[in-house]
Amino acid sequence: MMDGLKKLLVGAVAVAAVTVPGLAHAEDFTLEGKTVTWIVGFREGGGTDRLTRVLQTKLSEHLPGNPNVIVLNKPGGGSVTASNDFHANAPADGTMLIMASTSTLLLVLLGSNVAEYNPNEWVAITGFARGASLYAISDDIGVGGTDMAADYAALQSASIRFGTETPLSAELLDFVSMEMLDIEARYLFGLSSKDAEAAFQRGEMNMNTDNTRSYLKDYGDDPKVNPVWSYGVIDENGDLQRDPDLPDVPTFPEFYEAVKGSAPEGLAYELQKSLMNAKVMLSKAVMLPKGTPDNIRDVYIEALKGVTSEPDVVAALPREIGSMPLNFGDETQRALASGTEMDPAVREWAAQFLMERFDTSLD
Amino acid sequence: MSEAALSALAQLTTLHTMFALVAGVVTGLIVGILPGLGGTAGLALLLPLVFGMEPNAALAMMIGLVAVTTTSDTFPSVLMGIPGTSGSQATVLDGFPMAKRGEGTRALSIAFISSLAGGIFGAFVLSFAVFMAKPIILQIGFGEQFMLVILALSMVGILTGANIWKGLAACSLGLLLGALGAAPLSGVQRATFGTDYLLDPLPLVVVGLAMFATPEIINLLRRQSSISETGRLSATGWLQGFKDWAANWWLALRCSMIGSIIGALPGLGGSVVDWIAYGHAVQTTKNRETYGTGDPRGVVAPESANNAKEGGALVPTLLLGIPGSGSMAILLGGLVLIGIEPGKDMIDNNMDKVYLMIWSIAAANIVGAGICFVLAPQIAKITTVRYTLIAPFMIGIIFFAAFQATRNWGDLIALLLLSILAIYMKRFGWSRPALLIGFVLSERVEASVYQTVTLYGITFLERPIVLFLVGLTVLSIGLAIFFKQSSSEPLTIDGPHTHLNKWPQWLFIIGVIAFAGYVFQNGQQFNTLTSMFPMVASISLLVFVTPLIIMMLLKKEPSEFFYDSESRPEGKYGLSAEFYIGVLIAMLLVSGLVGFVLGVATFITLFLVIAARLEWWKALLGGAGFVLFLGIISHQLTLRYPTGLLQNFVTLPWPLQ
Repeated sequence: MMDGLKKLLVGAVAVAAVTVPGLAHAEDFTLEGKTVTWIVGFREGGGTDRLTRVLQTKLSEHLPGNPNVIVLNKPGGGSVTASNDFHANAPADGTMLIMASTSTLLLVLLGSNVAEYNPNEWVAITGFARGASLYAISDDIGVGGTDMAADYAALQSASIRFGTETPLSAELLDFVSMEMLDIEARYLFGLSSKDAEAAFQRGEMNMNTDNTRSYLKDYGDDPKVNPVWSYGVIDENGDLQRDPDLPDVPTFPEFYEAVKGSAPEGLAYELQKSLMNAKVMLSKAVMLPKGTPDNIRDVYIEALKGVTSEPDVVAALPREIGSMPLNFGDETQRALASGTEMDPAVREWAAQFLMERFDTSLD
Repeated sequence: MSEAALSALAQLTTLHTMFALVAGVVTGLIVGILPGLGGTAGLALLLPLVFGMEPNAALAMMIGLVAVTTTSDTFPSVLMGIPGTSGSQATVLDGFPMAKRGEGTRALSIAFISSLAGGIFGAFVLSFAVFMAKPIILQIGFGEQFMLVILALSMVGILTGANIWKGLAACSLGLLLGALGAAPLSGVQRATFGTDYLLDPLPLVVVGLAMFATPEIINLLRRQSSISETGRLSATGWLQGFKDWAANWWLALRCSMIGSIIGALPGLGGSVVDWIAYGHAVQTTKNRETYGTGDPRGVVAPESANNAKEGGALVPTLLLGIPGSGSMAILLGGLVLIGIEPGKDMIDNNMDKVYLMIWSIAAANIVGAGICFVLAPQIAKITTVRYTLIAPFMIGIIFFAAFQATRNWGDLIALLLLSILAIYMKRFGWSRPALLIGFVLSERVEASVYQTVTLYGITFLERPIVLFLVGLTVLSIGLAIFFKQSSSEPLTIDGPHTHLNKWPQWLFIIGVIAFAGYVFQNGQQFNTLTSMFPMVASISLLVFVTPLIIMMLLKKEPSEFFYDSESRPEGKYGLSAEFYIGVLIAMLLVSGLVGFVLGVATFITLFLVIAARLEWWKALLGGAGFVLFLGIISHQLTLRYPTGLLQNFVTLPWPLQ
């Protein structure tokens, strides 16, 4: 905490020294007597809501002036309603923040016509990275998880059944990855992640994707279920590393290179990387409204660093805080840019892929 | 096994844990009694408290809350005709007519004893199912889920009312309402009428309130001085209720079984449990004519099932780590918070925690029903109060409840529009339960038909459980055909079945067809994944309406194809339903100007002065009381009420925002 304050102080002095006078100093900024509203674009009880409510219990202690912090659920359209409202109306004075999730970003990445917000303009505080992996029932598909070439041959000849919510969901990452490898699968829609999970447990589906921690809890010691690849994690240098929870499992590009003989590239891979950023690196993200001054941003970054290192918060969030490092500030903003912006050529590829494969238009 | 059970009982009976349980029960009773709020909202309220609590106490508190919301939700269902949660919609059908007969206490007593026994039965089932149910649950694949949905849908047959075509058309109308908004298979927004509100499908709470609460409120306002037609409560209610339950113990047991099984199986979800139990009761008992008019069995059935459901829903939650209902999803989150990971690991290593939950369900049901028993005679007195005094508050409460669905202005507007639909459905003899069943099942119908056909084609019929369910469905449809419900009203020229003055009925049918036409037309622009279901639903509506239209054109005498309750001789007095619809619209318009809180307060005050002829200061006190109620809830649950134009200019202090 002291360290954080010191850093803040130094930062603020530096900022004040070079920028226009009159900008509020970090140490002047207080939320005393104010109410901080934390918007959640989903109803009570989901993963995003739970994470927010756990962080909420400690946030006040770490903010200057110890304001009252409340969580406000505004469900609708997979966070569209809340995000549109946040983008248009939220005051940029540190009294309102939003907990975004992959679906908040995905709608923008894919250019949904109902999303009237641009999260790139929001001020990023923290991103929660959460590893994701693709796994399969080994008896059924013949994936052993040790020999990539053998696994690839098995995947190409097997009858893969993969359940998911809609063509335009976070699982688009898996669709695109498999398309790049010419792996054919039957996709079954209308299944929420818990329905898909149940169908996988019944064996009606034989391939599934989940966050790595959940996968390990459910199937970590089950010899019948093996991971095919993970989507890895991006380190501070911007390089893709293996998922720390699955050190023996290849990342998707590793798998690709091993079976195809060359590293992945091209429009499809650009899309794959954007989707990976939205799904893995920013599984959840805390953001302030557009135009929030830097000093307020810095205060919140320090506060969230403090909250997410409290031992009982860490203990209560085994899926959210673990071996994947949290990202903060600029790093989060970079991931956000990659997770929400697409080159027109990439977009065209995505549109064509969705139309040909799923008869689904991108708009 | 028994060792773990005893150790869990010892853990539950410590003062600290018991206290937590009771706190959970009380919170559960309060959120259950408030229409629109249920287990999910209650658990969300507890979650921050649970964080950092001792695990046993936290468990007892959360289970205590979930276990009893379907006990107290009976108060509004029975006494006011407002479903307290979606688990007690069917209770309204017979519970409310009992209250109107002055038998509110008796109906409540039946409901609480049924809830109590059902809840304990659910706990009992759970204690075995955690060991044995896994292979069974894993057998329920897409084909079985599809047949479960069809079986549930076949219940409509017995609840169609006097005219089967109107009943089937009403069910199709429910399916069609379920086709609005985001398509479950593609996420594409269809038939949104150009509004943002329909990004998601219509919320069940709003549809349920519109179908049952508003028409009853308006009906009572027009005809009666108090809910109880006699103006009194019958004195023997208490004990009589217990006797009613005991006389129907076999039905109660069957419905508890249905409740716990449906709660545990994937595919149907908890909100249809009460309807299936109700339909089962009608199908399998004698003297069916009395259902819907205040038959005690119509209360026993849904109330036995809806508490048993919670024990059932815990089975997949604990066994597989897959939540069996909405409130189970949040419970699962709470369990993770206190360091318990449901699933195989829990059954192997934390058996005492599993038993603690089972004991907690049983204990919570006893405590919850006990508290309700004590309060029932007092609360039931509300049915003897002059209705104009309570009506404005009820209207305030149903709009408050609807608003809980998505916390959006759209909720209020949807409630108004659907209420208008329901008022005319009631007037023209279209079955509202049929619409509701269609609506509740619509998403499951759409998804499971597609999934089953895509995955299995016709071969799903080779599965043994599927065949068993096919048999049950055939039986259920057979019973519906065998038992043809006849109208309780005579076919006379001066009764509701008259062939004279048909134009209001024609207008209604034209409206329904226009709606189906819009959805059909709208569907054509999308791909098959999005458009198949709305097209099929609208076509089926048109198919079922056709015989009705033909018969209405041909018949030149009073017939069951005609129905207009306004044609009753006594239907003439009182202000018209249209007048009260106008009042509701005016209330929303005022709310649009000054915000929901002030809008409703103004409405309540004016209503009390003009309609109930109260003195100004008393009426103002009533309005202020409601503002305080809304303020306390918004503070406790951190919610924001819909704002009006006024709020764009001034910031009002709590609780007036």
